[in-house]
Amino acid sequence: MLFNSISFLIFLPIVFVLYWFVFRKNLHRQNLMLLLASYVFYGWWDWRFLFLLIFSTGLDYFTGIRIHDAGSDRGRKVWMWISVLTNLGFLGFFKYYNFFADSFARMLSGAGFEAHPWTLQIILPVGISFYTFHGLSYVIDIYHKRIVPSRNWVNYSLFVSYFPLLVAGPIERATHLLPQLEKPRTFNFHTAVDGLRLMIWGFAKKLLIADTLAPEVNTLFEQPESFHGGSLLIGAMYFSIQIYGDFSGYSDIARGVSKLFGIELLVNFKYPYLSRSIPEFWRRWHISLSSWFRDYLYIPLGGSKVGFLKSVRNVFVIFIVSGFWHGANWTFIAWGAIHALLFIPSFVSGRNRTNLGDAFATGKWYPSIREVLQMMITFMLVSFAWIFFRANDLQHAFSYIGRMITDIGHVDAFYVRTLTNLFIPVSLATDLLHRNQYLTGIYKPWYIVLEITLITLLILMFGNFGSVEFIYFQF
Amino acid sequence: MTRFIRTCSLTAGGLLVTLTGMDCLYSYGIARHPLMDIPENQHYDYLIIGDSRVSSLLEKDISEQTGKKTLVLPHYGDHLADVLKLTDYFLERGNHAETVISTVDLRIAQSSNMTHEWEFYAHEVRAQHYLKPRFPFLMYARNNRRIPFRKVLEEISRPVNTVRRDTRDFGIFQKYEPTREQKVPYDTSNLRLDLIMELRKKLNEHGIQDHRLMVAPLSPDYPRFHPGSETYKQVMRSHGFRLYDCANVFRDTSAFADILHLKRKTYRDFSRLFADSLKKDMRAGQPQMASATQKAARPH
Repeated sequence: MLFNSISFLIFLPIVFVLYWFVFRKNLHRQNLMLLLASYVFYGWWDWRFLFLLIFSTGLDYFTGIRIHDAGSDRGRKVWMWISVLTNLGFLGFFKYYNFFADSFARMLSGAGFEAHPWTLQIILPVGISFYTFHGLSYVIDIYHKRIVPSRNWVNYSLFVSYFPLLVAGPIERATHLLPQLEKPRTFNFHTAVDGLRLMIWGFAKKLLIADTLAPEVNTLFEQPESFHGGSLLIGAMYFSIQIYGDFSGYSDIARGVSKLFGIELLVNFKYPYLSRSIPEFWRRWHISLSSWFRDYLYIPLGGSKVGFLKSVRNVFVIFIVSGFWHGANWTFIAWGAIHALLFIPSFVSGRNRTNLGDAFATGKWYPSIREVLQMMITFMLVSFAWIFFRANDLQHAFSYIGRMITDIGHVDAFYVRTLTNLFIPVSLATDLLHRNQYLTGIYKPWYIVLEITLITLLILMFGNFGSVEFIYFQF
Repeated sequence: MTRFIRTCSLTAGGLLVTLTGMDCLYSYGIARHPLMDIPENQHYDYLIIGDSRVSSLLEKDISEQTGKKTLVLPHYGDHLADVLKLTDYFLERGNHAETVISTVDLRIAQSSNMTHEWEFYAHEVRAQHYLKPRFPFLMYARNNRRIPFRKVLEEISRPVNTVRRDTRDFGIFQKYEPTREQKVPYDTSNLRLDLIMELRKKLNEHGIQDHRLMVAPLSPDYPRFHPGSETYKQVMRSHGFRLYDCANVFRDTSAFADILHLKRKTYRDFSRLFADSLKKDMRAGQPQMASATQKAARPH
């Protein structure tokens, strides 16, 4: 079920009413209802996906308890690896089997051998990357004794399958979400209104910004040879805004929906395009994923506490794996590698831990000239890397970049005058307003009605309802 | 919780009011064709339906002169398929007519049509730029006739819309430019007889057996029309249609606002001429050519 669908508009109020009016007084039934609603939400795409979800849930629930109850370190480690390998095995099979088969065949062909890859017609279950990582973090946290396992099947299943975050995150931690599910929730007006606000702004980002840019991006990327280099550069920036609007829009809707039920989800984006450096960008973009890789891959490898070369190796590993997580294509690996290369200079010079606080200029609401330049450079570097993320394959990416660079001095007339160019500063300005909290924190009824009505009207009047799927659903 | 539900209700109410306001603005403020004017469950003697040139006929004058209840329904598009769609609307609302007269000629047989669903559900043509990609507006436009408030508004605005329609004059803003149309003649092998037969079939299915055709007036300067027009009329007659040939009724270009449309001052004359033809049909039971009683066209 998509957030931007009629079925969801009907689904949500029904679940809301059942949650707060029918099952409010019984926590177990309330959670059970939410779990069943989550299965309905997920099964709306394809009910067959539910089997894998339930199996993965059961596996981690069971192994979590076995890890905790194991009498020895060895026993605990065995159960943990059973869970990790099984989960990653399923993820690898559904997501990466064809990629490895094709790549292996091409490698053999390159070496002069004839190879026919045994590829399969595999449907990628929606959200598998996300709920697999939910389960992995749970099991690993139990192993490291950060949490005790849940002995309530319903609560744990809800942690994995909670519908707002099931399909495209944020990737929650058991330490953050499970305690909320295990205690009664009380309705809070301000939280619910904040939820509505997040939802409507999320829809605006998705339908008004991302989906309106999508056709332009598609045209430019499908036929780069038909456009001047300057237009392709604009196209790369369009895609930066598109993917941000799409993904952060979804995250906002997920957080907003969850707030309606009194449950807080992790913040996944914190104005990433207002970052002044690549390390800062990665503290603000897809925070739940980057922190997951930091805690469960980078730190176990030694992080930065090992020798220089191993530290650099660890940085490369984390970025490349992060890229690979996004999809079975060399372009995602290239994207990760580019970010690793962009990250390394700051890492080596020890400047990767600067700008840890606010987006910029704490206490002020406009940046300095220096900060503006830093933001522009960071945005351009990130947009360059996004070309690989968007391209169909490496050849396509290089072709796009080659055309862009060799003809960068010219822009097609349409892209000089199109109002679509306004989406870039409007999107950034909206982030700036939110960061400065000019758009939040007011709970007067007239203001809420006005805000939601106006944004809804803008969406209805200028949004694109051409069924452009959320980009991150494919991951 | 009560406060939240109240806020949500206020928001939903605000949205509905605003959407209704916008709908009214689109439908009544900038409407181009009078879907609003189609009443419900009415029985007419004559329904005259066709492209924008049909608006040159004043239904009040025709009704008075023929003594028959008449509805004139112009569609400000250009294609036969649009006429079909407009007829659907007429019939869907429970209306009936003894005789339906629809305009035909090479122009509306071969111009581009606007039969996209959303263009009609817009209730008017100009909102298409807003509605086409905007599914929520389209859903709203499709279903808003069911809102009682909307129906009341329609009833209130009908007299206003009728006055607007009755005072519409192409001559105010149009400039007579005879060279505006391209000179390439129409393709006489593409007469879209299929659409005319489809319209006839649709009317027959609704118990309307008397379907006649009319060729609306055109300026003598209209360059593309004449070479194929006789062929067109012969084909229509050969299929048993009664045909009112008004193409050359007005040979003086001063009667025209542009090469397609008459000036308002000519409407009464045209309505009188057409009513005369209908009266003759009533007496004789045969179709009559509209007689050229205007001054001869200036030489060209």
